[in-house]
Amino acid sequence: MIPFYQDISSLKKQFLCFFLLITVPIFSQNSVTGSVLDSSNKPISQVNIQIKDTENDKTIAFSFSDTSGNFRLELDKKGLYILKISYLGLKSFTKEIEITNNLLDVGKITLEENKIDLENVIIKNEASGMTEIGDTLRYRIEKFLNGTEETLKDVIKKLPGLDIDSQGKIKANGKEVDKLLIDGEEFFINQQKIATENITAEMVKNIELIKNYTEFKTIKKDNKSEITALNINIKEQFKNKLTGNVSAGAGDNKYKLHATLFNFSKKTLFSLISDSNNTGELSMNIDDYTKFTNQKENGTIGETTFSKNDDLPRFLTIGNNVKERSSYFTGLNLKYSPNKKTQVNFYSIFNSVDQIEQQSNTQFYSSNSGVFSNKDSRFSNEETVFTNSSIDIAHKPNEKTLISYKGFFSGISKTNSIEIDNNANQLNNATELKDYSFNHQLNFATLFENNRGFNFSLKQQILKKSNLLNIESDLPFLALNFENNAYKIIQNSDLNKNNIDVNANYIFNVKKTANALFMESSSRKDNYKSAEEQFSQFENDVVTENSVQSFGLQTKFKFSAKTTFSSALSYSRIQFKMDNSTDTKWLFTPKISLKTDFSSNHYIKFSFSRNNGLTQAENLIPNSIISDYRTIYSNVNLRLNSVSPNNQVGIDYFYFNNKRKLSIISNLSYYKATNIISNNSSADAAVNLIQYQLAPFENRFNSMLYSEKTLSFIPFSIRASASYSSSSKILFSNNLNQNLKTESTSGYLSFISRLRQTSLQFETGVATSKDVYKDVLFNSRISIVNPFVETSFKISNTISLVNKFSYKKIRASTSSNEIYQLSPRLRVNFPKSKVEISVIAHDILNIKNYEQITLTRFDNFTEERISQSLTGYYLLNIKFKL
Amino acid sequence: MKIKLVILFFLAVLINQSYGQTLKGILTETPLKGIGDETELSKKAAKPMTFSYVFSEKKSIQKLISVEKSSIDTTYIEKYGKKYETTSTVNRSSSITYYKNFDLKKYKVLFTRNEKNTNVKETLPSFDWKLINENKTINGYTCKKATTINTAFNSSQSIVAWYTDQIPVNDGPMHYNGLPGFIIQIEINDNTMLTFDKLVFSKENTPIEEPNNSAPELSFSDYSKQSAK
Repeated sequence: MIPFYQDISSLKKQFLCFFLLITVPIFSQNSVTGSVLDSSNKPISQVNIQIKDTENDKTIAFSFSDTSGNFRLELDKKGLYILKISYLGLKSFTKEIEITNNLLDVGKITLEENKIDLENVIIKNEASGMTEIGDTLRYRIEKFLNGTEETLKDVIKKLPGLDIDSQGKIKANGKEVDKLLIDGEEFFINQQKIATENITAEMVKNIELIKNYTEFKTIKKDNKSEITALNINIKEQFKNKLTGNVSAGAGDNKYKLHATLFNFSKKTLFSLISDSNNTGELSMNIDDYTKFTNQKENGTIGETTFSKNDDLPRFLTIGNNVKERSSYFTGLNLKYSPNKKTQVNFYSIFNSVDQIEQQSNTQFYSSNSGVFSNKDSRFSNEETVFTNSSIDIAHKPNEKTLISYKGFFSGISKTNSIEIDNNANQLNNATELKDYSFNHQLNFATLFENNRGFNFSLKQQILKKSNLLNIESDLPFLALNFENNAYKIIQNSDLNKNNIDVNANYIFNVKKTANALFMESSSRKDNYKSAEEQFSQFENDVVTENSVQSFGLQTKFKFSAKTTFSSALSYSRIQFKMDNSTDTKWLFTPKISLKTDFSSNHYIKFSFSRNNGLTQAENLIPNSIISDYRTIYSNVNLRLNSVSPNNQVGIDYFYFNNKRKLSIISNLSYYKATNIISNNSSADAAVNLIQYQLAPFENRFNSMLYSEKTLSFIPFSIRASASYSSSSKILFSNNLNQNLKTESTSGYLSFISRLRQTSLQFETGVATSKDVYKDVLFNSRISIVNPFVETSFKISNTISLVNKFSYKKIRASTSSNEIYQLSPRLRVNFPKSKVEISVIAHDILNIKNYEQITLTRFDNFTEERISQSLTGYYLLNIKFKL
Repeated sequence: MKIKLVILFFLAVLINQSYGQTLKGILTETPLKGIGDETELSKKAAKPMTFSYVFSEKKSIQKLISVEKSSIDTTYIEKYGKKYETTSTVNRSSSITYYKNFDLKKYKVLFTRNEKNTNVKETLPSFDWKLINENKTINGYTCKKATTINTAFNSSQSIVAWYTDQIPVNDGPMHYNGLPGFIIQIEINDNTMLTFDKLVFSKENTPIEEPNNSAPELSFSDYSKQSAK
């Protein structure tokens, strides 16, 4: 010990000499010595020691303590001084000293922990956690989180201006985000929900919101793209290797297995997500589904088509109003960029859902004799398998040329069996649906000098859909004369579509205007067939062949630095062909918009557009078709050449100010369609007959106001939105026309804590909605009031608790109910361990099935549905991180 | 001696456990004018460089975060009807790291220039600071003036430092240190200025590891000899 001490002391002397050299004036005679210790009596080195003038605070001498905590200062003159000792993180020590002798030893001085938060005292330059550079707003996410966040979704929800709605879509300042990027690369295409729920919070380095994002596929860069993208930067330690996790949860009759695997590297992004559960949780929703199956590039003909929602898998439309549900999901995403010129994006999804529903329905019909109702109770079992695969290859041989190919396949197979018990019959209504579609397209784009350019694309769409309907009953139904008392319907229907489009675009600039001249030619062949074994009135065979030629001009003109006028005027010639008769129509579809940008985050936009609704082969059936045990469809006066033009005017206002922490978004739109595809219905106790028919008009009005403000004097953000929409549509009932008016109002107000880096954060608020349906005979309404509290609390470094509590009061015309929901989730994270344990309690106040009321307005009836809802559950979940 | 230094180092670490604190900052280096010429700087050379800075547990590290590249501009001068090609080269390091360890009196500079790595290790330079009775507010901090002559690394530059004793950290940009407060701004010979634009404190310690690159560690004199070749 002794030699060691000597060594230290010799070293000490060396250091002392070193300091003396710095600070000691040549003629110094008076010294001040002492030593600095912390509260646990350990010496502190590198402490600031200053001798100051008592009068003007001027530093006369200064030094630093050595590794043993000792210091020595030399002064020229004797007298009164102030000794100041300070160290980062410790409370400064100040003492008045008088130097009378040549040596003054102040002895041991203990510095105490700084009780006052240094953060608040000194730092005025502390940034808000958000930096805006040009079109990019960067969030330093650690400023807003408290460590309870598990997934990217939890992170995004805590950032000001960003939110995730109930459908899993990311919203920035109230508007939907167009693209999700991982490390600047487009990934998880059409899968925002899947991405945000599977990327873990610890993987995220920071998040950037990019306005006017430039896609890889863009070759013209001088225009603002108006695409918003959210970029998620991944921490280095999660890159260039395989990461992910596997988790398994089990509870009373419930299970959930989940696995994610990621590999993010420079050339390849890869993810594999797999989930299997019987808790009712879904991996995709209706928006994802429509995006997967409807990946259309912007058309030029301005066409809108109608299709019935009946063919959608029910798990997408029914929400949690099912008794039991189990699902299996696997999704593979792959992005490969072999070089800077080429990108390949591939994904494949497989989702299978089995569910059981139990409902009692009351349908209110209006008829000549007044209102009557049909009651039934249903027990249905549905098995759906959905698969979707897409490949997108883009190659830029140089900065001015792009060649791309995109293809996707989507298939759905669904079997549904419903046991129905109504006033008269006991039935089994079974359907088997198979729906396959394949789309692919080839694009070529090139830019010449002077911003001139040329685009060419070739598209093909093939669709095959078949539906087998099988109804069996103990008594007659649908008012049909069944032979041999075999009350049985076996109906088969098939739809085949084959479309080919060719499109060419020429881009050129004239002075201040940017123009595009386009031409499109498409040929569409549809075939709809149906047959029933016993009854010939359900036999149909419709073949339509349309060919469309369009040409038009797009113009963008800058009036002033701030105002831009854009228009797209398109003329189309449609040649209809059906049953050897042909007809030709010319359609004009203009689109005009005027946008004033007061600043990059403040604009107002007026727009007008006209579109044309066209009939589908399914609407043109010469005979009838059975939809279910009491519904028959037929056609009255729809013809292939029936065109339903509609006009839409809209105003959009957007304001976002990062400094004032305020955003306001408002939309108003009015839609008016004439000559619409409507229907005439007549219902009696046995049959509801719906006939396609043209009606004079339909109006819709929508308005939305959204605002978010972070208050600077208290750490809260207020988020509020209100929306109102109304519509009126002419429907026929028993050949009498009547106006159906619907009105819906919804409001949302919430307070979000913006307590920086605290262990407790919360969001509380209330959501309300009210829907009213009104026609001559009915007046039905449903209102929902839903206050909620969401808290996240970090109990210690390892334990976090997230809780959601909500109360729902639902009131319909004839019934009402109240639902309390409590979903706490406790997570234990062992430091440096790869295991994480959580106790998930979901909706634990409703462990038994409870009843949920919904009200839906169909064409000629209103259905009040009381359905058994998913039960709450407990799970003990263990997660292993790779 | 080495083992004892290591022990000393561990002692120092132990001492510091209880009152951890980190100072993080962003600083910019702004060239004011070219060295040795009276002309306006070419725009590329005048481009400021941005660094990140972290101080914790008596160690500090300053790293270049802006993206820098060397560039050669070719211009043509017309004289007597003929065009002459002239080039102006701006050599900039694509990576620079300054590292200080106060307890071990260690200083390191690492940089990559034209894809060549350099790794220089020296004892931490000390300065004979002269405190001047002059105050200035920089980015919200009251700063005091101090001057010195920088003789470290064979140079002779007059240095003006603006330090604040509101932050009791005796460190500053590059190799500058040793004032009774944090150096917010350094002016080197009227031609370069380094300023902290942003400073953030956090209660936790941030581990700072001694940086290294592929190049062998050299003392400054060895480095000078090598680059003179």
